[in-house]
Amino acid sequence: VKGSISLQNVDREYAFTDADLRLLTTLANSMSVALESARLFQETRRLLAETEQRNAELGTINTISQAIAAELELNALIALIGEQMRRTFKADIAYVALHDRQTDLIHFPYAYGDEALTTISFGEGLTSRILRSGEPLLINRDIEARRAELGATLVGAPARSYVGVPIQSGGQAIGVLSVQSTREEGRFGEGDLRLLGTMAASVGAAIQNARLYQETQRRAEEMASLAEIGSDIAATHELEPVLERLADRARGLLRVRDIAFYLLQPDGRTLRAEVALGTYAAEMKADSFPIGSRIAGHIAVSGEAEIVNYPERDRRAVVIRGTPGLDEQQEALMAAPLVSRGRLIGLMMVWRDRAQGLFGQSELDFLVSLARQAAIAIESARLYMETERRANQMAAVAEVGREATAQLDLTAVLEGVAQRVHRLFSAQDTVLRLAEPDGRTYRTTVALGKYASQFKDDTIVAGQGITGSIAQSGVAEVIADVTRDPRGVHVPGTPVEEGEPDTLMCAPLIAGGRTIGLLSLYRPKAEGVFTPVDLDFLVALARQVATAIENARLYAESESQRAALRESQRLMSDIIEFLPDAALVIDQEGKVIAWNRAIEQMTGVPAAEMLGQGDHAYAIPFYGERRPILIDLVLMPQEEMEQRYAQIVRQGSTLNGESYVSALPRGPAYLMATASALHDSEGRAVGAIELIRDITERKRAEEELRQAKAAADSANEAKSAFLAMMSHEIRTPMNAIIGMSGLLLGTPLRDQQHDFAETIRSSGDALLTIINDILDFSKIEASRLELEEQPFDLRECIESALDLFRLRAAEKGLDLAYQIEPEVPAAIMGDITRLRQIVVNLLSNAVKFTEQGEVVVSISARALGGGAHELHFAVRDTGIGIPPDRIERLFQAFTQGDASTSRRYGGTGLGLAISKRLSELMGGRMWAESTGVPGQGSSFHFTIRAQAAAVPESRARWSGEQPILRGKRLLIVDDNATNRRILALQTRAWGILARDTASPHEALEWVRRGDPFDLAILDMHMPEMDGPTLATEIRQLRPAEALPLVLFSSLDLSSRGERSASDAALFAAYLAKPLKPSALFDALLGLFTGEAARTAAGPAPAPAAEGAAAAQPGVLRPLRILLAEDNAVNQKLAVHLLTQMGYRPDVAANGVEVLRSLERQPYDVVLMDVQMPEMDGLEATRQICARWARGQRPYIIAMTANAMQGDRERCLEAGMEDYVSKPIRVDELRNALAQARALDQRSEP
Amino acid sequence: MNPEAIIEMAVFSELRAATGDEFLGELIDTYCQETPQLIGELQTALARGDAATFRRQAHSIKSSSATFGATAFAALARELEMLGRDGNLSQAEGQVGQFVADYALVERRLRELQRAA
Repeated sequence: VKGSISLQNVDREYAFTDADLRLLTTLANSMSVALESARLFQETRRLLAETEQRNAELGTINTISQAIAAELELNALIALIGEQMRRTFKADIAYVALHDRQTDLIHFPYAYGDEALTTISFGEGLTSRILRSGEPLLINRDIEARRAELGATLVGAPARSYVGVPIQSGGQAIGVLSVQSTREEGRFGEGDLRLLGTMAASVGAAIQNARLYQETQRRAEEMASLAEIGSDIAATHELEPVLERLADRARGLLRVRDIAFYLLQPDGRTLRAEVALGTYAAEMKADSFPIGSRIAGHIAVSGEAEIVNYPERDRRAVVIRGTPGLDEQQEALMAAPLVSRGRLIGLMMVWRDRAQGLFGQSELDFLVSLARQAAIAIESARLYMETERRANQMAAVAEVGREATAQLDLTAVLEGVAQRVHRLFSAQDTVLRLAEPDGRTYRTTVALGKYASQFKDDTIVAGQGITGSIAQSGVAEVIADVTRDPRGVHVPGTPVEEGEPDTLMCAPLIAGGRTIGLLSLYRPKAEGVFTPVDLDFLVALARQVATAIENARLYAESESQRAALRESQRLMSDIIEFLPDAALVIDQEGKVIAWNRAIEQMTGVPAAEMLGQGDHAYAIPFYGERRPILIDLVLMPQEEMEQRYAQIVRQGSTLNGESYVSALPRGPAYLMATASALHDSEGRAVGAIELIRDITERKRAEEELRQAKAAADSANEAKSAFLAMMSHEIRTPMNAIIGMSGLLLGTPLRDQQHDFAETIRSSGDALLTIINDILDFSKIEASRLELEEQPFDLRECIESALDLFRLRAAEKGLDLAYQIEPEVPAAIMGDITRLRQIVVNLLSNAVKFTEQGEVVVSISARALGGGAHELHFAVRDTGIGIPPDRIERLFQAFTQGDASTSRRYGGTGLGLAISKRLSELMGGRMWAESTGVPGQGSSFHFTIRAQAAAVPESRARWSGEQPILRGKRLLIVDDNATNRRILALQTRAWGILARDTASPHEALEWVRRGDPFDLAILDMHMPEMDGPTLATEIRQLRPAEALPLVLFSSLDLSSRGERSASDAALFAAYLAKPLKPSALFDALLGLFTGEAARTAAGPAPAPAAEGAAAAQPGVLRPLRILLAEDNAVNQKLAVHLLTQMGYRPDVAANGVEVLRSLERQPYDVVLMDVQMPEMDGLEATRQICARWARGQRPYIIAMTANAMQGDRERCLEAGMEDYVSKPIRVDELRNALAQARALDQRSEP
Repeated sequence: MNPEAIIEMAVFSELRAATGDEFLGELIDTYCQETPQLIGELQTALARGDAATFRRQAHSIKSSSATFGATAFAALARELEMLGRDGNLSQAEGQVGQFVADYALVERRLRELQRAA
């Protein structure tokens, strides 16, 4: 009856039998039977079942445990466990999974029920899940859901019930045991899980055991092997004993009569028995044969071990010398090659009497394995020995090297090396020789050993004896027996005499390609010949020693160099220390290495604090901070420096700079610094030096000077500006006064009015002169006066100056004369105006201070070469003179002879000062001479330097000999010696034969006695007899046609009004004083060519000297004037003023019109505006000069408002002759026209 | 500008002394006719960039103005002349306006003096 009573077994299926069911039915049916009985039964059943299960489990575990105990093979164990699992759980699927951590794969060494299970990746399936968690997993139903829940993939066949447990080993899950049912759910219970867990634990333990066992086994084998070989090798350093022990053991193990180890020799072809044991050991020991011969040789070549039980039947067999024949021997043999790392190194061979039994395969196998061991042993031993030897050598070489570098004392080094070598090679004698300075002789330096004293002072020579030849060849050698070497030379006292041959090993010490020494080791031959290995080693040592010797030598050299360097450094630092300028020196790291006394004083920082300081510490005393200063710049690459410090001046490798510093203890200062890099002999910068000078004082002085100069300049400018203004401000009203009075004089006036106007006029002139003096003086003082450099006629200059005083001299009855020595050039380059100014000034004084007598100008010259001349001018008078003590003061500005003089004679007192300065400007000087005695007068002198110039053409007509005048005889009568001389000089220059006398009576006497004369010049005023009286007397002796007479007078008698009618009858011509050569020439020419000379000989009235002249233009032939002016105002004004002066100017508006007008009719004067349209004045002038020759063309006067420097020069350059400024002023215009007239008159005789 | 300073009386008086009032009157007439023409030509030259003509006209004005003692005006004309000489007309442009204005003052003052004579 379902649902009423249900018994279930959760542990297993088929737990209930039919009997159970029946029993239960019975029980159910008899529910009345006590429930207690049923419960009891149930309990009994459970206990029973549990007991059974326990028994089953125990059985299983027991089985496994037994298996584990019996079977050590892991795979077998796993298979066993797998089978047990499958059977115990009656599972459809059972497997053992193991996790390989290295590959991260899961292997299945046992798998039942699922063929697909071989290998999976870790991470797949429930297996991975268990491995990861280390926990068992039981799934009885809904396996798909659970799998998804666990995030596990499906691997292999799908199951419905699943149980899996981890296999633990060493605390890790290393695998999984799993059983599964593909048919039903709920198949496995807790008990199953427990049992499987137990099995897994067993498996884990077994696996661990198996692994441990294998590991132990392997280790044990290895250790045994190593221990065996190791102990053999460790016992000795030589191969032979090792092989002997191996042979000994093998002979015992293999029960053989003889055993031999043949080893391949260094030639790679020969096999030689190195070790042999047994009956024929001695015979075999010397045995050797080439590879490929004999049985053994064949085996060596084939590489295959072989048994030869009947050698006498083998064609390869050979009888080893000294052993019985093959037939009688009755022996068997076998051999195995010794191979190490694939290379044949020898052969192991054994022999046995055949009576003892033939060799079998197992014995051969054993031989092969022994051979393998032996090969390893041989190689190991060889390796060990090689390593040992190398280590010893290296240690020795290293030790020698260490000693050599540690000690710089050469002797000590060599001593140490020799001793080391001596010990190392167990030498009897060790000798170390070093080359003498000749490079050929080698002297013993160190000798050790038995015969040390004999070797001690021994020398050898390159090329002589064994050692000598090695010295020459440079190649190390071993000499096995020195007595047998043909080169041998016996060292006295050494063992050869005792018949004890030595073996020698000698290595040259080579440095720089030269043998600088020799290292020789001797040993009795009996103790063993030195080996090639020894030689190699000695050569290595020799190299070390040679290096050490070189080092020591270099050290010694550098020591002496250092000493010299220290000395020169000390000298340098002394020099630096006592430099007057502050100095510092830094090395290339910027550390201070010198800080001298001067810089200590400047900065207040003692050298002790600064020396060794780097990082710009030296800037701190100057700037209060670390910063680069000039000294750093010299170490900077040049490009960089130039980019950054353009203001630094570089002179070669030296830098100069100035700087203002604020941090010095004495306060802010200007410093001037010079820095330069210091270089070593190879040109590398090793440091730098900087010298610093405090130039604050100099700067201050410069600044003061600059300010003073600025102040002076500004004062001077102010002065100049003031003067310029004054010039304008004063001249303007002065011009008005002079101009107006001049105009006034031109109008009809009563006598008294005329006097007043004349007074105004002359006062104005005087005032203008004073003003001009002051302005001139100011200009000179301000160095603003510029001298012209134009050619001019010197004579004309003097004459024009004299002209100004002619009237005044005549008024005072003074003789005025001049005299030019023949060597004086006719024309010079210079400033005619200024020269004339000097002469005028001197003449003015002379005339002013002379009441009677004469004033004479004389000029002499001295050629300086190259056309240059020094001209000496003198103005001599017969006036009041100057006391000698006042002469010096004369040339000072604002000074006259004395205060009373200025009151009496007026004047600014500037004239002489100006003249003196002018003469100085002209390259000369000025001085005065006077005795101070009234009447003896004074003479003023000045010199100038000037270049001679060509005489202007128009002036040249009367210079030199004149054909018309040559040979004429002239009588000169004048009481004045100067005048006589002048007349005589001048006329003689023209070729006239002049004869002169001071006495009219003498003259009369000459005429009376009939001396021939063609002409007579008579002075007007003579003490004995005046000119007209003398003329009258002469006339009575000779008629006018026979002897024409000329009157020479201070008065200008050319104006008609001055001459008396009687005079006119007496004289053919009149000459005015001062005498002008041009006038004299004209007069004489006129007389001798028969022309009427009465008017022409007299000089024209000088309008500049006679203010009234302009007022009477009608007297003169009016000048024809062309006015070129485009500006209507100026044109109108100029026309008006010219008309007032009595002229009738024509007008042109530009240069083109000027040229047209000139083509139509001639003009005497062109007043030319400079700036005009169409063609300006300059161009018009140039064209006029180009078209008309001088004399034919008009006199051109520039009119310009340009008050600029150089304008005047431009006008004169263009060909203009004079210059008036605009606005036009009457006086200026008049003067210019008067000048034009004078020239006009002269050029038109 | 102080009217007295426009014409420098010292210069003007000198001119008057040299010419007489009647002629001076004519001269002023001439100046007052000619100068505006010159200024017109000067402005034309400036507009054309003709530095040579500009310079010459400025020079001419300077010259005749100085004759009457119009010293300040003549100085201004001289400045223009210099600019013309140096070919620096762009700078001259800024000054021509002032120049024309100053001329008006000169003319007015000259007329006053003409009447006063």
